[in-house]
Amino acid sequence: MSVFRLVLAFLMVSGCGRWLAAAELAARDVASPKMAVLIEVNRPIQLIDNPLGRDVWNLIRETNGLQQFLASPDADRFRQAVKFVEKSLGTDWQTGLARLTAGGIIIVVEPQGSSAEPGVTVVLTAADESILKQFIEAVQAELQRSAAAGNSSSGNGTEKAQKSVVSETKTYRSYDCHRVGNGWFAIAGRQLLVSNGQPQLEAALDRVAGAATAQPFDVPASLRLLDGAGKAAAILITANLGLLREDPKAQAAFKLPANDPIPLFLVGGYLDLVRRAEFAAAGLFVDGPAHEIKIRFPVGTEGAYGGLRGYFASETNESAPRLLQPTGAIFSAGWFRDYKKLWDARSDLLNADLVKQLEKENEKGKSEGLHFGISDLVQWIGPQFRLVAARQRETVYQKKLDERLPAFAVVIGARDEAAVRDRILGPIEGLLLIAAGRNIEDFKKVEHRGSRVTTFRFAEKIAEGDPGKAVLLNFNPAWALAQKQIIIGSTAEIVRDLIDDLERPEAAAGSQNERATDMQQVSLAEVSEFLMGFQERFVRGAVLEQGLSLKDAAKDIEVVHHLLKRLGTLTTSNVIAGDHFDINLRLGPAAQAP
Amino acid sequence: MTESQSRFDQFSPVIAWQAFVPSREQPWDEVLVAHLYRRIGFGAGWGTIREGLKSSPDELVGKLLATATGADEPDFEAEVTALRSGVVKDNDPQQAKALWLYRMLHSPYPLRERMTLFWHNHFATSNAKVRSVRLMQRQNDTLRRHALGRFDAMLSEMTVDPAMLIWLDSASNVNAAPNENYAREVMELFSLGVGHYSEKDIQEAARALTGWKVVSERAVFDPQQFDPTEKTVFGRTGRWTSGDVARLCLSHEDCARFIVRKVFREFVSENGNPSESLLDPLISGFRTRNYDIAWLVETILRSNIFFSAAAIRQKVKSPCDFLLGTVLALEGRPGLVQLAQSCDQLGQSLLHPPSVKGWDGGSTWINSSTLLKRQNMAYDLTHGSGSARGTDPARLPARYGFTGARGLAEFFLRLFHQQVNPAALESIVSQLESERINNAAVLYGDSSSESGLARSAAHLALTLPEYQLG
Repeated sequence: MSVFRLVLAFLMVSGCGRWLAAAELAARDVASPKMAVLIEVNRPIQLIDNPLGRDVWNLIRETNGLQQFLASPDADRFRQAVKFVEKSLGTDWQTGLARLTAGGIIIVVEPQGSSAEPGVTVVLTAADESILKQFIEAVQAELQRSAAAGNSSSGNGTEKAQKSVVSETKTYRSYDCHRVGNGWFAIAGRQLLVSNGQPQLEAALDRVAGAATAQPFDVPASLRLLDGAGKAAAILITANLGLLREDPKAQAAFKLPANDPIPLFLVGGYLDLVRRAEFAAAGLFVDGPAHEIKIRFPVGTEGAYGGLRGYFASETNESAPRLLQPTGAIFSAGWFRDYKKLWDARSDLLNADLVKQLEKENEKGKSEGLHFGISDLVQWIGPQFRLVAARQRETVYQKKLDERLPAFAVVIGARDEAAVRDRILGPIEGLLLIAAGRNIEDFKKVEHRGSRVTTFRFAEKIAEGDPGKAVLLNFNPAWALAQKQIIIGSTAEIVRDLIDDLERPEAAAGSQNERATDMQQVSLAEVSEFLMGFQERFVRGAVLEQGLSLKDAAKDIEVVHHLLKRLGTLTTSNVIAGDHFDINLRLGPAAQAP
Repeated sequence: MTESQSRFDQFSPVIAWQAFVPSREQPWDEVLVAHLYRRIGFGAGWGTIREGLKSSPDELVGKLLATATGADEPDFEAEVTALRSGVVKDNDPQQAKALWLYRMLHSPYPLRERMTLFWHNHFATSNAKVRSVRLMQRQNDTLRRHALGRFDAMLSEMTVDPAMLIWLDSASNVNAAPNENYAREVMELFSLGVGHYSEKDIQEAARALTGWKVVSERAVFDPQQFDPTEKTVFGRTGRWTSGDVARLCLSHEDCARFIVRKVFREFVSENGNPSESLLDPLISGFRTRNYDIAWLVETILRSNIFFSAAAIRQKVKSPCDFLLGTVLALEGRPGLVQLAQSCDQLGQSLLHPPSVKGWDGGSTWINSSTLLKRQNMAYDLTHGSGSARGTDPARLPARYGFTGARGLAEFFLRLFHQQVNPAALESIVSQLESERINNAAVLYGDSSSESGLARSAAHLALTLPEYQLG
């Protein structure tokens, strides 16, 4: 073969080689196993353009608050950025942004050692190469123009060389790499690669060229969060928890037996998950008119620290109780915590001194006062707990308050009803009557659906002498035992409503493999109703603190109510299975059953 | 003789108080209209001043006085009442201050609010000791009710005002142990001034003022605690009561003089000392008209001396004047709680005067610290920071037909100063041009961003030293 043909063949191969080897980067290509955080924005425009976002925008766009903000200098920069996108791409900003980010955005943060700043690499995939080039050229032109304008404004009459914004250009694997300030960028096909470090950019280009040798990061399958329809998240964030565990403060928090009982009993189970999980992932999903966030730890009941078995619903027949929804319920929560198991495992969970101290308190409790200790209490109550807050509808007082607090109640499972009735509620009633004396009146026991409700109210004259004590008129405390549940409420009304609610048949239990261990729900529509009682205060605040007129203040507050009603409900649930733990949040109308 | 003294002396007492009629030497222009709005209220915007120019001075003063002394505007009062009940219930002093600023800014009768503030400084009572927003609001209502009424009625009612009783310990002034606090202040600060009474007058007046106390936020007279015996005050003997003390002070020859001097200082000038002969027409008129405050104020506001160099820009703006005047000029709606806090920081905490003497005013408003704070607040108000978002000046120049760096500079100089100092104009234009170029150097900067330039022009105009004079 002639030399000429050899050279031609070589050129063809090297040229084609580049074409053949060039591949678009996926998240796994950009991240290494040492990464700290990987963010994949799969559908960027959906974050702005979705039913919930559109409804919220349509509601708030005419409010004075937003109008004032849009007219303010704070909004100027944002407005000018939008203008720039439209000018440079020759289309409206939504279409421009959608085309620029059509293939998604990947962001990787990777530590570079304790003394260096972390490496950040961003890969933006446009709809096509031409729009990306068009945008980059416009950015470069704008940077040049502003640098030139800055030079001429600081010039003192002598000529200065025009300062180039791009301070360095190199070629790496036949891709042009440009330095701007402390960052680097390169274009590979329809992808823009940006990094604050040259090595990170070159590593990414190695992948594009098919020449990488380093091991990429593969997000474990269990962390590839999908929604109910099997669709990937609009944003998926994967975090490396191994890095967190290297922090000395975190190590102190993870230490078992613990030196501090309070965080242990409050969040001990969650700390155990973080301790065991290598990674965690969080995904944002747009589900019709609602948004959902799912956070997953790929560890569950299997391998959990033995002493913490009481923290989550770990056995197949355990779970959080169903949420109670009395009339006007604003907030309802239910959770599983077997404090008896935690108490039994105290020597595993706490250091010896703390254990000794707790046991001393336990013995003291048994011998003094109400004659029961911690060990008795955890035996009698749990493992299911509920908390409810609801709007008050009625009052037992003559004086009507303009602004009423919500009623609230705790509902605790009673393992031993007799013990609860005779050893807790009875003595507390007695103590209360002695301590409160003439400040309480109308102490009575009333039957409701076969359960006895004990209640009292405060003497109204308390509020006459001291207006600050008028807050007591929000309360007429009550308690009852019903359906093996202890109900303690701030009003008799909520206690009665909860007795009624407990009568409702339980819904069918979920799968045995996945059990809800914590649940909360906030009804934003009920929050709106509750806040109507504080309307005067909000209007006054809007007028005096934000400078709105009375009419505009009332209008803006009306929008807030519509917004709350549109948002519907905020629901969270924590679900545990053998090999994973999920935290689910949903904002919007309740999910429709398939 | 000081310059201001010589300015007063050029007026004979007759000429001084005659109604001002514009002439070629002294035309009716935006300087005079803005001066009137600054004194009759707290200031005005461009459009209001332009409207004012269409009326004669006599018509404009008449119109502004009519709204001040006429029937309450029911819609506005309903708004204030709606806001006030919550403020009182919460006993929130900051919101109480904000509510008063709301009145000052939006009231259809600003002169009444100006006079209420004047009397608040005169009968200075502080919530720091009273600790009841309800009582302070009640006192404020009393001052407002009498603001342009009769001083004798106001003095009588203030003597038994519950907030005043607490503030000056009248509530503990009893037969067995008379407390001279209110007796001293009613003579020294409220009606006669220093040096027109003796210690004996104070002691005897204190006995006449015994018996009042505050029960459930109401002033209640307890005859058991009252000293019913004879007292001699200003040489006159009788079984005087609290009502008599006020009457005796009012009939004192120095009472009218004392009040007239204070009102003169408020509306004309706080510089120099006007002669007795200059003030005599006002003093005798005030006395013969049974202490009619409206007549006194109207006479001053219509007068030659009021519309002369002896009065224009002869007062240092109080914090209220400075802040409210700027907001009114910018036609804005800032957060009023924050505005009240700004007022506090500048040394004028509404409903919380520093002592029974009130605020000294004048040059005491300005020191190195408060001047710097005024400049910073001017920046906040013109750049829409935080709760000052509602005062953005950016939209004003275009609305009134001013564009470009020179147009912006001229607009704001005329808006805040009613005249264009050539050196100030060139300085501002130069700074705006420089800013325009610098803006162009910023990525995403809009090189023709009139909004940013307008804010800068407004701020620069506000930072000129003469803006501190009102």
